[in-house]
Order: sequence, then structure tokens, then C-alpha cells
Amino acid sequence: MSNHFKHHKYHVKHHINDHFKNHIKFLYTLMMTNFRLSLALKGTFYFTIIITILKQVLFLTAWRFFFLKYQVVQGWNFNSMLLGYGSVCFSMGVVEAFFYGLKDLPRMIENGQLDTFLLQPKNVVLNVAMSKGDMASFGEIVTGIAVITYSGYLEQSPLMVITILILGTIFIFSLLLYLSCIAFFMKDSFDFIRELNLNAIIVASQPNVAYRGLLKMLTFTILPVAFISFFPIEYLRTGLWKYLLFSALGTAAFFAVANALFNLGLKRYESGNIIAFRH
Amino acid sequence: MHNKYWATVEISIRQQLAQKGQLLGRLILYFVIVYLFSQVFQSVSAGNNRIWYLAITEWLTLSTPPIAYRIAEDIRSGQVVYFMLRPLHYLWLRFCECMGISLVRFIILGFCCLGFGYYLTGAFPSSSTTLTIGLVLGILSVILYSLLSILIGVFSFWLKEIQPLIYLNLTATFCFGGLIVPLGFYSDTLRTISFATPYPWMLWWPAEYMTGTAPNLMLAFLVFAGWTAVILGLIIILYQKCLENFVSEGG
Amino acid sequence: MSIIEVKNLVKQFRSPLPAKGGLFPRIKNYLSPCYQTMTAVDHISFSLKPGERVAFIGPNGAGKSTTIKILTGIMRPTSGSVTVLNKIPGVQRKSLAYQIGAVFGQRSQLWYHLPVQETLSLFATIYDIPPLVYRQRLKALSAKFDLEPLLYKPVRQLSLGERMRCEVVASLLHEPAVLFLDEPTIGLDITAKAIIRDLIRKQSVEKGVTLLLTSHDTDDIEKVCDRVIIIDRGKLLLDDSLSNLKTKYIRKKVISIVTEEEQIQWDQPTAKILEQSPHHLKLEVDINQHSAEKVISYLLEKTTIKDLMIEGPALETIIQTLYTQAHQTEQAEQAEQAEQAEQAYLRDKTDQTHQTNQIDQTHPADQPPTDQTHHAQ
Repeated sequence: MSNHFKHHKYHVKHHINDHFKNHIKFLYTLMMTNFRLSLALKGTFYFTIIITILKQVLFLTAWRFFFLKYQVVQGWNFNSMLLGYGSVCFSMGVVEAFFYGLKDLPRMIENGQLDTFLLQPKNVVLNVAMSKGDMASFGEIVTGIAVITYSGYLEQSPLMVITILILGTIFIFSLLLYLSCIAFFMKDSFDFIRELNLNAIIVASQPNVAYRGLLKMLTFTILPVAFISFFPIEYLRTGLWKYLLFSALGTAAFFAVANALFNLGLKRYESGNIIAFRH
Repeated sequence: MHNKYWATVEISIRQQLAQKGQLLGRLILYFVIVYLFSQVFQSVSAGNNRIWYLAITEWLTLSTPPIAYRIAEDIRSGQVVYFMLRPLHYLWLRFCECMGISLVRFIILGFCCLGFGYYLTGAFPSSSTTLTIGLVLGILSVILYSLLSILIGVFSFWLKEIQPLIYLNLTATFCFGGLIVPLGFYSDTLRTISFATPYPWMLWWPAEYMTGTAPNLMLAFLVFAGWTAVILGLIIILYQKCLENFVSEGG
Repeated sequence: MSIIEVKNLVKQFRSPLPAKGGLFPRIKNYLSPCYQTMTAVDHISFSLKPGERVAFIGPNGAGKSTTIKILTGIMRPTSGSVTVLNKIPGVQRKSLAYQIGAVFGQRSQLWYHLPVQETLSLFATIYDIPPLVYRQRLKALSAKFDLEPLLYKPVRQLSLGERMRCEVVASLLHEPAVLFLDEPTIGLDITAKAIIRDLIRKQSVEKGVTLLLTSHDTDDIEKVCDRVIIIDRGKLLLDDSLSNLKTKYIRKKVISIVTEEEQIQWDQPTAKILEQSPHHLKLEVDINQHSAEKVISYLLEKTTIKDLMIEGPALETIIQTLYTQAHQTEQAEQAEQAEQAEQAYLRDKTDQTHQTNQIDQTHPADQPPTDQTHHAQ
């Protein structure tokens, strides 16, 4: 009996290991396929990287002049701004490089293109997210790191900055997934969601005046970008551990909420009521 | 006889009014950005004029639809071929569509600008005459920004992906156009570089005029007209070249 | 033992009714919307055995794609039971996905900018196919579907026919037990269609793959399938073998003759003229009422026949006739129901009038007194 149980336990463990390995292999293959696709369009690849770097330089130049005139804004100086902006830039770059499919998710929901992914025996969110990748977003990743390095925080607390970047990436992933779910409940919402994405990123990468008044309520609840911007930077400025804890817990909760919302939306998609009479 | 391009403008107006989600998205974006940055300016006691400047530049930028995406999509999918089979000019059609959509947004966001700006500052930025002339400048600004967007869209004939160009345009608008950070904050060198681009004439100039800091109106009109002619010329030349080399794949 | 079992399947869609009227009705409708329900699939039942090749057809809007989506697990039914390979599609979708394949004629699953081989390699990882097995299967399928010259070409450079072959191979790579084909030959030329049909049927015969095909092209049905299920307006119209469909439902023959004479007069009620041109005549005989033999005998007496051909009606004609009959039956039923409702209404009205009259006669004390009686009292 005990031998049978050991045998069964071995098979289950083996099956889980195989399943996990297969999933990793699948994700790796998707990533490499996207990478090869980006390289197949060589001109666009290098062009995008150059333009991205130019874009960041222009943007930060303008803000540099702003902070030359007004040195401190609500306790934030130019270096704090650089850290906030850099971490959003880096996180956005990682998500666009590996999970660009999330940006197309609203359109896929509207056009019924999720069907192809539902027919495949893999996790729908990851499959959709990694169905497209823009490797030229490495430009964003590189400039993000460059900006953070210039801020001085990377040298000061490298481990904390890396933690913030990881949390930021998970947050941006969750944010794109969360906002894409609107397409399950609202028709013709692709442009609206694109504007909301832009909104969220702009708010997340600006000085912390966003976290008072009316916007404070918004940025702590419905669009919780405070967890990626306000809390991590307050932690690095003040050294108080509670801010890092809030950031980590908030990001984890937001990730859970985004996935739950997606599953809820998927039930509605499966009911067919989104495309009611089109069959 | 009802002109086909005028009909396009009318249809676009009706379509934009029907796309309430899109309009709502623009409104939310407008309020969030203006509120956020007004807080930034208020926290450094920058004055009411800065807040009005911000409200006006955002109003003008957000009034224009991202027509470059539409053109890029048409070219990528090959839909542009169907337009070429018809007795109309494809880019002129898209321009008319852009004008229809812009008109709706311009009016709605214009009311939001006036209302929200008054709520934040407690006063209007200048006299009604100045604001009326400013309105005309705003319309011209939207036309120029639309032409710029169409120029970027035309690049889709050569580039597989024009998103980087769109982002660059947005950043250039922010930086050289004085979208949020006014040009007065810059060094002389950067200001000179900015004025060598069309962006200040689209944003900074109408906003400065409407907040009562009147730059040379006649000179500004001339420069504005010049830039419109240059961009229009570029569009025509590039589009002709594109049509000569156009290859449509698939079966 | 059925591989697909569908019992009393119902699928309804709900959509909000647009608001009418002024501001307040619109606000009320926004807060508490009214819905209209549309039944796309209405209590259909059927089953498929392993290895069967079934055509699932119907006019546009019949509910075919909805049914396919329910069978593949993309959509959930409103009621009824569905099992595919002993699994409930909506619930066990992921595990079922390993055993089913799907080809959508109007939607591609290939990566547009990449060579075909890259997509197929990706599919191998999606379906957890070991590399050695994948290489063997790819070799076999490439040879069968003549894919070797296409493997390293980007998908966007392929013609539609070439792309469809790649789509079919992509869906067969993991050797599914069931293959769903949703208009796989749409937009293809005659040769490409013939190739795809032939390859799909051969694959099914050799590997025992169960096929469920939806198509508006009757040649697809005739060349690939052995059984036909027809649905219309969500209801099952017919479920029978292809041979029965041709012989049982529409018992007509078409007689085509080439004559010596340029023109012949045909005025017999035994057959209807379908086509007539110099030296050529085409007649349709309803063999429920008349005999084809008698028609031919009459023709032989009347004219000199140089060539003669007898054939059944085209499958397209049969199916079209079935649709028309179904619609006529439905219209007749609706007309009958409307008439019955009207008669019931008239009856009720008559009964009410009769009852009122009866009350007037049997209860004079309840009636208001006339002037004379009142004055007498």
C-alpha cells in the first residue's frame, strides 16, 4: 500500500514537474518568437530604439528646466522625479517587450479574437500577453535604467531599486490587464482604454502632487498608481519600511484583482452576450 | 450638389457623437492632466496664468484625433487600395474626417477648458474679444496639428511601425510646443531650437495670446501659414512617391 | 460510443433594448435596462461517432458557428448538455484543447510576419509535443500537404490556398481526435479547394479523425462528408446520411438530352422543362408522381436522341428546397396560430356579449327600474 502511494506520489510530482517545465518552455518559445519577429523587421527595431532614447532626452530636458526654476515640489526634487519616471519607463519597457499582447487585448475581445487562445491548452492571460512582443522597447528599459542611475538612487540602494523595478513591472502588467477588461463590459472601448492607459502612466510618472486632494482618492483606489510611484519613492526618500510594505502588498492585491476581473470578463465573453447577434 | 468631402465631415461629426466612450476617455484625460499639473503649479505658486496656459494647451492637443494610427492601419491592412479605386483623394478624405472629429472635441473640450479653468482660478484669463480671436487661433492650431499627424501617417508606407514617430511627435509637442512646461522656462538655446519647429506656433502662441501675453500677432500668423504650407507640401510630395512604389501583398 | 454528444442544447443571447423617448425614459433605461432575448440554438440534439465525417450546415444566422463555439468550449450553453470526448467543453476546456483542433477559414492562427515553420514550432510547444515527435510529424504532414517549399516563407507572402494548407497542418500537428472546420475553403479557387478537401478526407480516413465541417459550398459536403446535419433558425431540420439525403428527400430526376432536331415541342405534364436551347432539352421529373421511364419512352418516340443523361438533383437544390419547405412550414404554422388566436378572441368576445345578455334577462330586480315601475311603486 505504502509502495503504491509512493508510486502515485512520484507520478503526480513528475506530472507537475513536466507540466511546469512545459509551461516554461512554451513561454520561452513565445518570447524567442517575438524576438525573432522584432529582428525580422530590423529597420523598425533600431529606429524605435533611437527614437525612444531621443524621446526620453527631450522629455527630461523640459522637466529639468522646470526643476531649475522650482527646485522642490511637495518634497520632491528632480532626482525623485527621475526615479519615479525611470521606474515607470523601465517597467513599461519590460511589459511592452515581453507582454505587448496586453495592449491589443481590448481589440481582441471586441473582435472575438480571443477564441484562438481559448482553443489552446495554455493559460489564456499569459498566452495573450506574450502573443506579441516589441523588443524595440529595450530602448525604454535601457533609458529607464540610465535615468535611475543618473538620479543617484541606484548607487545609494541598489537592492531596493531592483525590488521597486520588479514590483513596478508586475504593477504595469496588472494595470494593462485591469484596464483591458473594460472591453468585456463596454463596446467600442479600444480608444477609451488606450487613453486611460496613457492617463495612468502620466499620473504615475509625475511629481507626488498627484497624491493629495481628489486625485489621491483615485490613485489609491480605482487607478492605484500610488503603489508604483508614491510609496516606493517615499520609502527611498524617508527609509520607512511601511512604504515598501504598502507598495508590495498593494501590487500583489492589484495583480489578484486584475486576474479576477479578467476571469469575470471571460465568463461574459463565453456567454456570448458581448457579440450578441453576431454568430 | 452635396460635396463628398463635406459629407465626410458630417459623417465624422455624427460618428464622434455616437462614440461616447471615446469622448468620455478624452474628457477624463483632460480633467486628470489639467488637475494634476495645476496642483504642481499651485504648489509652487506659479500664478493663475500658468494654470490657464496649461488648460488651453491641453484643450488644443486633445482636440485632435490620432489620425496617424488610422492611416497606418489602412496601409498595413491594405484597405487603402479600396480607397484608391474610388474617385476621391485618400488623404483629403482622412483630413476631412479628422476635421469632423476635431470639431466635436474642440467644442466639448473648449467648454470644459473654460469651466474647469474658471473653477481652478476663479477668473477668466482675458477679455471676451481676446478669447474670440484666440478661438480662431485654436482652430488654426488644430488644423496644423492634424496635418502633422497625417504626415506621420504617410510614413507608414515605408515604416512597418509608426508608433515611435507618434510618441516622438507627442514628446516634441510637450518639449518644443510648451505643452505643460512653458517656453519661458527654457534657456535661450533651447527656446531658439523650439521656435525653429512648428510646435510653438500650434500651442504656445495661441495659449500665450489667450492668457493676455500677446506676442506679435501678424508675424505669428505669417510663420504659422508658412509652416502649414511646408507640411502640406511634404505630405503631397511624399504621398506621390508612396503611390509610385506601393506594393500590396497577400492573396 | 459517441465522441460528441449533444442533448437539448439551447443558447440564448440577451441584448439591451435601445431607449426611446425623452430624457427620463432614457435615464430609467440606463439604470434599469430592458433586454430582448434571441434564441440562437433551440433544443438541438445529435451525436457523432469516432471517425465520422459530418457536415453541419444551415443558412446564415442558423446557429452553426454558435454550436461549434459551444462544442469547442469557447462559449457556454444556456441549457442542455454537451460532451466532447467525455469532457464538458465549457468546464474542461484546457484539457480538451489537447485533443481537438480547429480551422477557421476567415481567421488565421499563423504568425503573419514569420516563416511557417516558426508558427508550427510554436504550436509544438503549445501542445507539449516532444521535439523528435514534432519533427517526425512535420515531415509526414509536409510531404502529404506539399508544404516543403512553403516552410521558410513568411506567411504574409503566401497565397490563400497555400495559407489554408498551412492552417490545416497547424491544427493536425498534435493529432487531435476531433477536427472542427469552419468554412475552410472560403475564397479558394477550384483547384485549391479540391486539394484541401482531398487532404482533409484522407487524413480523417487514415487517422480516424472525426470531422465536423461547416460550409456553404455543397461540393465540400459531397467530397468530404458522409453525413449531414442541417439546422435553421436554431432548430434541427435534418440529420441523415448524405446518400439518404440525395435519394429520400427530393425524389426528382433530371433528364438531359441532345437531339437531332433543333427544337422539339414539350407539352406533357409528366415533366417540367428546366432548360431548352437548340438541340438541347433538360427536363425535371417528379418520380413520386410519374415514371422517368415513361418520359424517356415518350421522348424516344418523338425525337432522335443523340445523347441522354439522367441525374439526381444537385445537393444545393436539395438543401435549398429543404430550407424553403421549413420556412413555408413555419410561416403556415404562424398563420395558423394567428388565425387560432383571432378565433379565440372572437369567441371570447361573443361569450362576453352572450353572458351580458343573459344577466339582463335573468335578474330583472337588479336592473335599474323603468319610469313606469318606479311610479307604480
